[in-house]
Amino acid sequence: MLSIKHIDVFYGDLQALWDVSLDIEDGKITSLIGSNGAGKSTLQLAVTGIVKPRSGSIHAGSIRLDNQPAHKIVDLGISMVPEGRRLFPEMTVLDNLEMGAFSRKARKKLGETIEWVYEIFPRLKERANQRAGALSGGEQQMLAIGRALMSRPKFLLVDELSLGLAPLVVRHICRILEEVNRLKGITIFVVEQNVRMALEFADHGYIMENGRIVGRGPSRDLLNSEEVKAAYLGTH
Amino acid sequence: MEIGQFIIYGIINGSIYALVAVGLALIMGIMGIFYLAHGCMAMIGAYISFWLFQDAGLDPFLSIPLSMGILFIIGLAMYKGLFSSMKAFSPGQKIRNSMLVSFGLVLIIENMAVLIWTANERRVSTDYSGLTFDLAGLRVPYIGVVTVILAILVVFGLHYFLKKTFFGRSIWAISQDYQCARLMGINVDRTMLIAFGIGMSLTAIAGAIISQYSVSPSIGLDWVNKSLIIVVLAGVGSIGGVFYAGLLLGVLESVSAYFVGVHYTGVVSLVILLLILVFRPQGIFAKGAGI
Repeated sequence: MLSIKHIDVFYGDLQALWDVSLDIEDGKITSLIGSNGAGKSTLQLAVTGIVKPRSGSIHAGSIRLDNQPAHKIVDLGISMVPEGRRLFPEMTVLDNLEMGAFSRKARKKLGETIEWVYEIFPRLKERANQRAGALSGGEQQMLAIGRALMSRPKFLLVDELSLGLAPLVVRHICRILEEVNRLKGITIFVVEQNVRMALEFADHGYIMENGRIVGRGPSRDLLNSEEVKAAYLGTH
Repeated sequence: MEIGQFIIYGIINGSIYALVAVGLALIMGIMGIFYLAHGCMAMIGAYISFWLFQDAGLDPFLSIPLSMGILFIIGLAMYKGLFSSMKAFSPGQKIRNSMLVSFGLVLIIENMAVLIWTANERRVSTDYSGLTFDLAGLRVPYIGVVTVILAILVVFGLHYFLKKTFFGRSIWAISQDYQCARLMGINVDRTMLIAFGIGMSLTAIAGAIISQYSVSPSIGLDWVNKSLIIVVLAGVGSIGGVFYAGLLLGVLESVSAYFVGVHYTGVVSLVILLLILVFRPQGIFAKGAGI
């Protein structure tokens, strides 16, 4: 279980997260929803060690993460698909995937993992030798997810899965992530602005507003709750 | 046949240019640090070779491993002390800051070199310096042949190191997206530190050869000037292109010395730089950006 306890995160003097606590259960899909600027990405970046919480703690199982550097956290089985994909645009698709397996443990299983990722996203195999910058939006998101899977994570964090993608592509990628979750037991934690999609996709949901967690529960309950409907779904 | 002789010397000079510039191509082209003290490091390398030759009788080519080690360590200290704080800067900010800092370094190193080695020109002359062999009626110095071979080995060696090894590619990944590289599990601090050290240690190879021509404390800026032209000519981010760009510059300078006189060779290289910046700013030998 990935458990985040009472973290406060600051950018300089600006507080981005206020006393945030959140549990991500093993083998489940959890989503964090909320509007733009609510602090969702910051929370994921805190888990990956890119930003450091000023107080509180983050644990993966019994291992404490928040006092470790980012590159160690990848070794501990946490991998992130950053917002806007952030591929290495000048590298080929294959090079990008190989960079995903940078950690020593992952490097040993490189060949095997690449085959697995190609199986999940056959399109990447077709485009293996193309520059990542030349891919379509959907393909780039597939590559970003494939690259994150290359490190053989236990926890996969996805920041803004649906951003800039056609609904059909989003549905396709969600189906693949569900499969990865079900077949490989990889725990998935998605941050999303598209509330309906996120809640239909996930088992559990958290709602964030202005850097605070304001709601939580099984996704189905959240989807049916009057507040969520009124605030995010535009239906009553 | 006289023009042929000029071309031979152009090729040899160009190979030295490539050897000096290749480290800068890594530090500036890939790591994004505008490093004006690069020529000064080659100067230090040349003095180390000079010292080892004078005091220990060590052949300048054989002193390369030792001076590489020394420059590697100087590079680590320099990066830790001066450049590591710029790692997360935007590219523009990084260039401005590193330009200022490294220009200060040039002044410090030049003055230190005057104190340590005096302002006199020094030169290593071995038993084989000045020896040539005959190639189709042209004189070819033995040192020149070794220089060309070294340039090919170093430039293409670095190219493949950056392209094929995990460590090399992680340097490249950091240059494209610093934060995302961290998400891949790359220890960015350590990688940048070592990459900078590698860039510095490569100047030792150039230094060993420069020591056999002429070294004085003021050569640093001349060499960095040539190196900057070559990095731009090759295309910023290109490593393999440095070899060809070095040869091109060397031969053009040498041929222009034949046609317009030796005093104008500096002008030729600057005119080339201007033309490149106006008509092909991505460089001649780069297909796109990247290695």
